[in-house]
Amino acid sequence: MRLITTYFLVFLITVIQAFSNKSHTNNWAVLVDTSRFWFNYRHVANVLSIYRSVKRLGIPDSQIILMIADDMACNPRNPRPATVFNNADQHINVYGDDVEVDYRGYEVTVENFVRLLTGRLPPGTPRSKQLLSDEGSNVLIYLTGHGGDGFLKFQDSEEITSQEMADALEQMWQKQRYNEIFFMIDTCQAASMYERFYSPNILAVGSSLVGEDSLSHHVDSSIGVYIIDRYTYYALEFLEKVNPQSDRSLSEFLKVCPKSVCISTVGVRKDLYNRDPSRVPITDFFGSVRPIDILHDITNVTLVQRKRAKSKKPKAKPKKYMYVDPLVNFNSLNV
Amino acid sequence: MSNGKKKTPKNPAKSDENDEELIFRIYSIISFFVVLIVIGLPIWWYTTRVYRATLPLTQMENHVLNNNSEKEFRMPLSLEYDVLITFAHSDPLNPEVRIKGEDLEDKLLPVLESISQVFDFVIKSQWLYTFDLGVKLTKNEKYYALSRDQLPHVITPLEAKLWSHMSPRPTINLLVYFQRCGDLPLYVFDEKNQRVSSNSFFSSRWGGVHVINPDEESCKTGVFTPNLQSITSIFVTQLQKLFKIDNMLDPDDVYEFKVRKSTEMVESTRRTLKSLAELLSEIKSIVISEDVGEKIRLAVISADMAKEYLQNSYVDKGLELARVAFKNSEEAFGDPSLLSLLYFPEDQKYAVYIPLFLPIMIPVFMSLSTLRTWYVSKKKSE
Amino acid sequence: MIYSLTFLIILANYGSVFCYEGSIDEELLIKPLQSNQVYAHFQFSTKWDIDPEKETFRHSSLFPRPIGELIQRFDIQELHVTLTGGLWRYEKWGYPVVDAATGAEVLAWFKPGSDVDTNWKLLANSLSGLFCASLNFIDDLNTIKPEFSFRPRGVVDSKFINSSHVRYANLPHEIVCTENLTPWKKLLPCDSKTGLASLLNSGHIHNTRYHSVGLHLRPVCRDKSCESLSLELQQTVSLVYDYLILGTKNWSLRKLFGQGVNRKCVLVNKSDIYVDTTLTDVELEPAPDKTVTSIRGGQTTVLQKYEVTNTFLNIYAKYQNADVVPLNLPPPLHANQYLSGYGQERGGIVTKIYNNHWKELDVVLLQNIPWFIPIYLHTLKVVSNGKELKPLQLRYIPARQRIRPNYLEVLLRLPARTSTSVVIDFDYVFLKWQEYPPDANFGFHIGSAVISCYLPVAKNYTAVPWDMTLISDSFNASRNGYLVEIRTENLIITLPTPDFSMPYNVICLACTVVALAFGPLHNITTRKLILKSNKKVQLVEKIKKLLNSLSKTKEE
Repeated sequence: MRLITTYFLVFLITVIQAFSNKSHTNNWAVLVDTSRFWFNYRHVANVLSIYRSVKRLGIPDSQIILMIADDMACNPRNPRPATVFNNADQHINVYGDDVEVDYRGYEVTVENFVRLLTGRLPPGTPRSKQLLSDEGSNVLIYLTGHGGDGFLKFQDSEEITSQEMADALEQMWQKQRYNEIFFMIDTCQAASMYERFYSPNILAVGSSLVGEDSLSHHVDSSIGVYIIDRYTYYALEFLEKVNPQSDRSLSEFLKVCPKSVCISTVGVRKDLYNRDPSRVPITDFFGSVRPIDILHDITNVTLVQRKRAKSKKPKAKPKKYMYVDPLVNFNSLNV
Repeated sequence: MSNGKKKTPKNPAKSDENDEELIFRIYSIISFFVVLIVIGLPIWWYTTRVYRATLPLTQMENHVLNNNSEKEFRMPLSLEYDVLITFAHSDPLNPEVRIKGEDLEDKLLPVLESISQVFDFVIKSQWLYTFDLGVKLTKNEKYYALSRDQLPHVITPLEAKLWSHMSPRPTINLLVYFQRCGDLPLYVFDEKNQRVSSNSFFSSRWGGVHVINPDEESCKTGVFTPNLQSITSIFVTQLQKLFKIDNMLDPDDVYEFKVRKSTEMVESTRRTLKSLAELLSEIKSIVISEDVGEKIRLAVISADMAKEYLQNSYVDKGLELARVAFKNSEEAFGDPSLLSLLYFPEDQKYAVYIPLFLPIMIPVFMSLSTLRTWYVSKKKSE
Repeated sequence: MIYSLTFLIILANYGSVFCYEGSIDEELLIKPLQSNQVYAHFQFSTKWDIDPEKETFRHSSLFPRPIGELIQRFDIQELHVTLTGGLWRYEKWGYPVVDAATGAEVLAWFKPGSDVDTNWKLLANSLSGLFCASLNFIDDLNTIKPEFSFRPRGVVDSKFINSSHVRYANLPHEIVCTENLTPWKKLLPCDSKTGLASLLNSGHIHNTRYHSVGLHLRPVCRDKSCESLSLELQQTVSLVYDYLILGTKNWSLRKLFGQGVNRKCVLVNKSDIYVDTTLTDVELEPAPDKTVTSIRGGQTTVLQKYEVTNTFLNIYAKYQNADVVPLNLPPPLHANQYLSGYGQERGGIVTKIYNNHWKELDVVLLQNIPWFIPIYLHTLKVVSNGKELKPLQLRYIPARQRIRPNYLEVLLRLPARTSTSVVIDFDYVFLKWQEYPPDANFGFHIGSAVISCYLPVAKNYTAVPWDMTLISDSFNASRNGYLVEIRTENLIITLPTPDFSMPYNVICLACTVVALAFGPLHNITTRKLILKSNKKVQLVEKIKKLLNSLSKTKEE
């Protein structure tokens, strides 16, 4: 097919690439709650707190992978169906009205988590369940559950070791699946999970050091269990004050939970990260601002009518469609 | 104290030179040794090892990679894309917009055909009714303004509604936004606060947005038929920006584009293969099945051949092979079977088998000393 | 005559008023139930006049593109998906507009000539991404091809129905919550800002006794001649509110859904609310636009109709005699399912079907029992009021471990006014270590049975006729019969669960056993056994010897 085209520039203004100082083009978040059972309500509240914040700050649901191992919102034990609160005073319904959970219940396994990170998913996996990040992506990974020295339990039946976690991140780095990673973990002995990391551009923060327990914040008597963990509670409190335009830095975020309120010591690992956290806006990981370019000069296209490859078959005898009997006719069976 | 006792079992063996059964015992020691150590251990080793097909590792590792400084601003590389046209309207009957996705597809396809050798495109369209831009527009007497700072915040809420993740292919979003009558006109402004004549903007890796203001006449009649030519032109320009090609209709540009994309595909293949080789040496539990090995070999060969063709300016042939190389390297790296030993890593292998091996191996090795004494005594007697 | 007339009226309604392809109607039926509940059923019907066989589904306007994409990619002829929390109590509540089993249920008909098995699995995967549900757990292990129970609901071009094109699976343990409703709402063109969809607020929807969201896709006749097709997509939400949870019997839209209807969605043809006032003496405010009396299958129903306009609408219902509870008359056919037996060795699955009708009823019972519950066909017993009943037909495909489930379909002619139990025995078995879910002690679900029947009376019946679309089409629509597909309770059985630290114990035990066996074998074959001199050494002498040696070493 030939096209006769005219090509002229309407305006000749050089395209100014705004945001050219930006190192990343898109944001992803992988938020995982690994705990099942009602008494782990707080872990679901934890993960949903972060989910709420990243969504509010601009990461679209299609770029958030949310894994929740058990259903708390519609759990029969929940006196307030379809809600998960961060506080017994019911300040914030972190579950929200338009949540989208990508992996839930039995789908939250070590295997699925590692496959998600490394991109080695079985064929047919829908794109909403894939981490489609690339070399321009900043990825926020948040994990919460029950941890120990060097492992994190999944659903009380299996565990991911810190070595497996480190290897998974290395595979992501090698395949250029991230630009930078902010790794957050709220578990007991959280710092042990990031000790083995060896891939570059990772900033890691854990709610407790090796040998320390991570503590919960308070009990909600109407649900009968702890409602949220300390570290995430204060992280959410901080994030609630951030808006997409604000310039709060990551180093401020790293200090959200001093030992006096957290009781455990918040661990930070910066040696793999080559930027100064005090110069990194928090929205580099918790928000999403796409780089925008203005379209100035337009290529004018002269339209050519494409001949549609319509195979005009001689019209067959019109088919007669019909509804069938709703149920098999018993009298017609050979009984 | 135990000296005397230890000697008792040995003594008969030594003294009893003409024991007829001795030779059978020796045979059985040898057979235990052969079955367990010589045959059994290698079989165990072979069957429980991490399977790795033979790979051209040196070829995979040896490539020097170019530094790609401009990486952030190109479309993620893929062999096929969905072009998803979305018509967004804030008030679908004010005015009613008469435009069909099929018609736009007919206009776009001939243009895209020029690069269809490089990528396959599927053009789709959908409507988003009752969609609000989600930002507060500034208003003066003559127009409504969408300022430069607001533009990114237009895209973010949009993404939730586009269903772009439904397809198995990456999606390029081309959005046309129709402003409602009554709030006309709406103009896009750039960073210098100048009105953008095209009334459109784009975001690399995502797609473009074009704002259309229905004319007064249409607002009176309530029916608006947009100009397909101008929309197509905007779309084509946006696609050109996204793919960094100057003019899709200029054969020279297309030629240059083909060369560039083939080179990128070859580069990407080599980077992937190199990463894979590196990972194989770093992480011991990665399995490489014969199937994946075949893909890797194919990728290596195709990449080399593509490079050669490209150097000799056989662009079409080079492109074809680059596509093969790219496809196979991506598939090989992302193959689910690479993780099949996730639940049985190397260290656990020893933890499980050592309790079994120790109680068996120790007596077998101990009995070798009997074999030695027998051998020595036999030599002596000779 | 009346029939054809209604049909014409419906056709007139379908002529779309604008150029956006397709037409949408939305309806809400509010029906106080005989017991202490009120039933609300939303129905959003999208009709698109295209030929599903020729359409590429690349361009869509009112019809949701994701669904079109599924049809095109997986060669779907018809699709029914429901996600349900709670159990519909047929005995007390009568029949719902749409039957749905607790958990998730997917039923699909594929076009002839397509690779049904592959498409089915890919479809399940895609649906799981679309609805944020774990539908990707649908595989060969829980999929069956029922021969009698399900027939195409849409139009077909041949009366010959091939059950190899149908796939049915249910996931009884699936939980339904806001994350499933969010994407479902996104499929509606007006989102949830205007129209009846603005009533769907997750907090109120999930605070109910029963809630079910559904999506039903089928081809229908475009016109009366039925020589060309249209595609119909029904999106439904069924809710049963309990007066106890509401706190009062006097309901209002705001009380039920959190808010009233804002205004009509401009893209919708009809946006109507019907309140069933047959049973109770109720005062409605504002006054309804119209009162409809429907006589269908011998049953008279009185409905109050409200048309949603561009103004805010909130309906208040005030009951005259709030404490009067009408006598509950169970519907002609209902059923229960439960487990029998005790212990952890053998058990039985009992399905009890009640026929309250004065005449005998023909029913089809369908059961999809997981592979890890081995059932025995020779134990199948059908007993009706103490007398054994012979099934008219039986289809049974036994399970194969880790390959396919048990499929059982029984055709029965239930005698009048009887209760019939269908019993089949099974064994409890152990699973492999990794096949147990993380909460193995919770138990394992067996999905609900489906009992299909073409009822001769429309008592307590609300479903839309087969060949129609809207709730309003069901008024005065008498037919030869009325199809019900009753879903029973799910069952939970506790399989024997091992101690999950078992593998380590097993390793240790196995190694010990091997070592114990190997040691003697090795000794016998490689060492010479010599009879020791039988001189008995007294214990005292032994000690003396020991002491002697000790003193010797000390001296040294």
